[in-house]
Amino acid sequence: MYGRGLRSLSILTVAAMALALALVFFYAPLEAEQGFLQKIFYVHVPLAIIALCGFVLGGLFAIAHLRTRDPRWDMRSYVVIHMSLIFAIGTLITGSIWAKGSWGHWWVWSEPTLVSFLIVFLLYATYQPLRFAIEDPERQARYASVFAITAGAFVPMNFIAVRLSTAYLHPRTLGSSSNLPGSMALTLLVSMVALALLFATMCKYELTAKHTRAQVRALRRRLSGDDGRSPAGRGRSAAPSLHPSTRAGL
Amino acid sequence: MALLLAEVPALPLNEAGKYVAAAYIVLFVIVLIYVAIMAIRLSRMERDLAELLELSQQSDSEHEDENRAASSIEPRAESSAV
Repeated sequence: MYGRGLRSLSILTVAAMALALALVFFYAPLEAEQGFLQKIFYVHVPLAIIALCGFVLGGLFAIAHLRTRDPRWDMRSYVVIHMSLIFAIGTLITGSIWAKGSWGHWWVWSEPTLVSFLIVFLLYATYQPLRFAIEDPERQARYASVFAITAGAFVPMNFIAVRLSTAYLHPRTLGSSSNLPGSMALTLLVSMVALALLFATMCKYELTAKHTRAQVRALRRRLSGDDGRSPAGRGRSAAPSLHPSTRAGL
Repeated sequence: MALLLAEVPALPLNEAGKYVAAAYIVLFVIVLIYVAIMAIRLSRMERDLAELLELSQQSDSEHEDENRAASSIEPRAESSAV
């Protein structure tokens, strides 16, 4: 069942989020140059990293789907990409807020980090319309998997290309050029774990909701005299069709 | 709570305060919107389940009626055969 362990995961997420917020505001020291504004990084950086990792994970799940033809992998890929898109929106908004506070502009078009992230976001923004454009569920799942793999491979390439670029204003939080003190690194790590847990919880909620909905639909078909086997009656949808009898967790 | 608030260091909420607050509010709003969407879905599913329960009760009562009708026909058929 998809809902197994959901309660403990939710409690863990709330506890981790509370700890992360306490560390951000009452433990991590103020940064010498940016001062209090640097606190945005503890939400912005984890959001960006988790969104990008989620896109890559969606590609890996899509590979598993193409190898096994198991619709559960397609569902996982869809949900992970869906959540990553939400996290990417959060990244863009928090990044813009930081840029306004630090640089005095909401957006800087000459900055490769910002523009490359926007390109990745716009690329994945076409994922849902692509799915919606294909009516046949099997073909939809197959094409979406191919898209997820191609776009998932583009994400690390894009990241490396930006790292290799010489002219950037955007600070490097991780890597050899950053000299993050221990307390700040710990706070960033806890924030990253907390937001990763939030991501996992939201994915699990989504999977549980979709699976329950599929079960309710199947029950309705059975009670109304349909055999409940064909997904044809579901209408056009961007979401993958999952057979109600499938049992799995994230 | 008052003791805790007295112990924690004061936050330097100067010019940067509004930007930091805005960034964290964004995260909070994202979670809030997601919870609201889940609540809407849950209520829709609850409504669907109530409909299904009604459907199953209807089909149960139809089955009962059929069984009753069948049991009332059978003895008559037996007596006419005798």
